[in-house]
Amino acid sequence: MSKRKTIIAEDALVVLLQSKDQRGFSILYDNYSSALYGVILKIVRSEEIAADVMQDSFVKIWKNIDAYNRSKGTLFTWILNVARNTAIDRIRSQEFQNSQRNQDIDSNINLIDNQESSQFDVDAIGLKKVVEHLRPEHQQMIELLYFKGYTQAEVADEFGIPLGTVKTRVKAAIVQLRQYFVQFGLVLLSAILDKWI
Amino acid sequence: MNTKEYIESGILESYVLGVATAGESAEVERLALEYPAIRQELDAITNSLETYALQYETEPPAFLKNKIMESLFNEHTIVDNSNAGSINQSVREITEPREVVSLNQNIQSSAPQRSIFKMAASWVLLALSISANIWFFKNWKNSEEKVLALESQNQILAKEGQTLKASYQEEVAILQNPDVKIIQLSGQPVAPQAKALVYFDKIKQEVYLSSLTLPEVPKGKQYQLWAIVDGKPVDAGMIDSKGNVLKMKSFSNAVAFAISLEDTGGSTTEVGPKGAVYLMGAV
Repeated sequence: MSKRKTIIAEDALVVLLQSKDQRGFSILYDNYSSALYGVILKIVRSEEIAADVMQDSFVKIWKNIDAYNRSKGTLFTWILNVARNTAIDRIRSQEFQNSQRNQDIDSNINLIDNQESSQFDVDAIGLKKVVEHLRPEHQQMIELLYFKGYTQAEVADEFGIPLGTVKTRVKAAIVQLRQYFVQFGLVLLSAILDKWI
Repeated sequence: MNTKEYIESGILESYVLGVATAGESAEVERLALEYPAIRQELDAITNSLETYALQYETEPPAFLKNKIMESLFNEHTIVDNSNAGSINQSVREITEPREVVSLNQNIQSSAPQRSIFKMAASWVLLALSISANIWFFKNWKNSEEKVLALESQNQILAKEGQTLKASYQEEVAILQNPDVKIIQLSGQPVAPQAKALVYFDKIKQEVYLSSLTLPEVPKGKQYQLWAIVDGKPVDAGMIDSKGNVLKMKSFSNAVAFAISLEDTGGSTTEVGPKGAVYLMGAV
């Protein structure tokens, strides 16, 4: 099957998906698979498992699409959460823990950091460095909570950090991300303007 | 409900990260519907985490799409087989792939991918819209201040205009009265350039002072008008403003008028003018 991105209004796509229309799922896959697959791969760190989780995610989307409600957020937010949760469930399942998660968390993070440089292909504009722009303790929070599915209490437990500090760091990390993206957007804008004017 | 406090609490971050409890999540969703500020904050947090996640975008292996589509739609067919009513429909869907292709061609194809570029662009728009808002707000504030200043200025001008109009009307009425005699006071050696007019209505016994041209009053001093009655100066009142027409004290039999510079408060009829006489004119 060819893979072309299709411009379609999100509402229309939701209607297609909810009526279990093949075209809807084909468009969904074409438009979002690389975003979903990237996050899944980042979490499970194995192409074989990532493909499997990707399939599970689409089955879940298929089964639960009726529960999707526009007022809760965008379709992308919803399917990304389905994929992320499916991947996190997988790494947290017993079998996976036995085979993969006996390494300690710090080396896990290092592994992931090394891995991402080969996955990320927007080098040209320098966004690759997003991670480097975050302070290490902030980066760690986002990695653990967003990509590892730790709760704040679990992070506090495992690293011996007070829960309050964990919460503060998570908040600070996201504030930092927001600031960075605004700055990045402005840099991008001025680069575009430079080219045109 | 203090939305600021709620936003500060960090619960929105927990919700977006998927680590909030079911109760907390329900609460966040309910409050987001009710308070636009919370909705906005929630969207901003979601957006930044998604932008972060999008840096890991990776093309899945080529075979995966077929595999997934097959698993979805084969299961679909099996499920539908137990439901005789919809067999036709699902068979149709599967046996008419050409329709799918033509739909894809009809819908304009390009790269609408929710890419990191799009996300970055949305941050630009957000930043621009925030700065535009600040700019417009400042401008609006400025304009409002200016309007207020102009309004009060306008009121002052209108008042001044009314006062002037009234005083001119008064002066015209005096001048049009045939009983009124106009006396020109002329400058004395201390101030040869000084000038003034006295309007004297003997019938009504009214004295008005107008068209004053006198040197600036020194501090602690004041000009005083005198009427010469029976060869003696009589106090005719202090000149305390530069108004158009000043109504002075009443006389019926004055033969001349004079203006002298006195200490503030003036001199009395008993004492007579103590300072220099600046102006004088006979009736």
